[in-house]
Amino acid sequence: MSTPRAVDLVITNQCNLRCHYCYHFEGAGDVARDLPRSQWSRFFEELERHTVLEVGLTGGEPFCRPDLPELLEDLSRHPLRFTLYTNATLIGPSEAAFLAGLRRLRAVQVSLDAAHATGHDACRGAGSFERALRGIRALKKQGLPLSLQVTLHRLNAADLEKTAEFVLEELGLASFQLNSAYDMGTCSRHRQQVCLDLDERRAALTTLEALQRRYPGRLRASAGPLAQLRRWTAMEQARRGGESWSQGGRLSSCGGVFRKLAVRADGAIVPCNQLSGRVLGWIQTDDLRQVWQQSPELERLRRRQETRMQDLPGCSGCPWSDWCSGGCPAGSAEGFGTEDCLRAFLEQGGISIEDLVP
Amino acid sequence: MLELRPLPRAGLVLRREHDDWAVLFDPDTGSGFGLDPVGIFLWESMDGRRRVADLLEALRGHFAQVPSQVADEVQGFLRELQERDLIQLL
Ligand code: SF4
Repeated sequence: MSTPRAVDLVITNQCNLRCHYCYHFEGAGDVARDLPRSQWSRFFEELERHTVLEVGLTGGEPFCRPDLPELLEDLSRHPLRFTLYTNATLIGPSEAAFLAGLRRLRAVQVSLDAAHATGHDACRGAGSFERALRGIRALKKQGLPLSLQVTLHRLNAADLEKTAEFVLEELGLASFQLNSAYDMGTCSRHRQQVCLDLDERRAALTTLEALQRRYPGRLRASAGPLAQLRRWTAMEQARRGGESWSQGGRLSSCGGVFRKLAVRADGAIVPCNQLSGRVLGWIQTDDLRQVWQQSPELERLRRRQETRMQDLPGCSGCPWSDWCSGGCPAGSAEGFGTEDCLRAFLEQGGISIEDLVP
Repeated sequence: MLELRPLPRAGLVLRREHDDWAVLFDPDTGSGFGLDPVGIFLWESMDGRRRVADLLEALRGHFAQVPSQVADEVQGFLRELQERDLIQLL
């Protein structure tokens, strides 16, 4: 690919909340300044020139930018589609109506952690559940393409079933996305309070298994326990069936470096928002295509996939090494020994693979 | 068909992917349509003035080994683009 297909933009470092599990604040992406609108608008032109097709707008909280409407209008003039990631607490009827008038808005993704204020506000702050719900209802009323992201943590994991019922039945959404709190940024300081321990992860997997059966195709995940459950189940089934996977057995997770990039609020081009300390260039001075094609750091990340899992010291002798693709490189430099490691999960949890995949 | 003049719909993005393939992307709907090298050549040759017969001739001049059934294949391809509202046949 000569240019990235998708780019995530942290359009502001401001946020009206300070969620305890936030990966952004207190991490390398937590920068002192926001780029002015003129700079972003110039970059939108560059995105068009390089035929970038998808843009994610995130923060911080995008609605903390006073010039967000103008910025979105600038972006909408370009032939690409965009998704807005928001906590929805600053969205009322007029903001929702404005969004509904935008061409090329692919989706609004809202974070909602529980079916009630206790579970949601525990990490996000008092009053945020009611305000998020008001925002969600305003977005729904406008018929906007809405998707919800539920982040699992210690204070809402036990309510997962109720959360699913609330989102899928009461709010009537077609599906929702699941993730979990990762030990990065602000989350590292609140690790004990938010990150699931082994028992809680096991319990979450059991609940998720049941929820998948109850709501087929309506739970989505690219990271966190549900993504792990699906990946591990597929790996074990492939192992039992003696299948060979062309992409398996190499340190290739998650593949994002082959299709997307991210830009911090100060204009630094980084591989993704979870790897915001690895600066590849600057949108103020560098050409996106050149960064994409020539950055040595990006090349190094891409070449991870040449490493066979069985050659990694931590993975030798692992029965799943022919199917595993390692974990997120933001979790550990080597990409294994993280929460995504099936063998570590079984060993630490004192369970067998049959307990997990009957 | 040979006398018709294909015109690409305005506002679509042709994005080249690896292995000489490309995707025709509609930013208003998010739908994409894959093009192989012949499809890319045809897409880039359509301008509302050149006839299908002209495109075929250009294609034969551009690619080394063009199969005998190419005329049928190109016409089928153009019909598909028309059905997907990606081109008009004038
Ligand atoms: S030890 Fe873990 S990371 Fe390594 S191959 Fe096995 S499951 Fe994958």
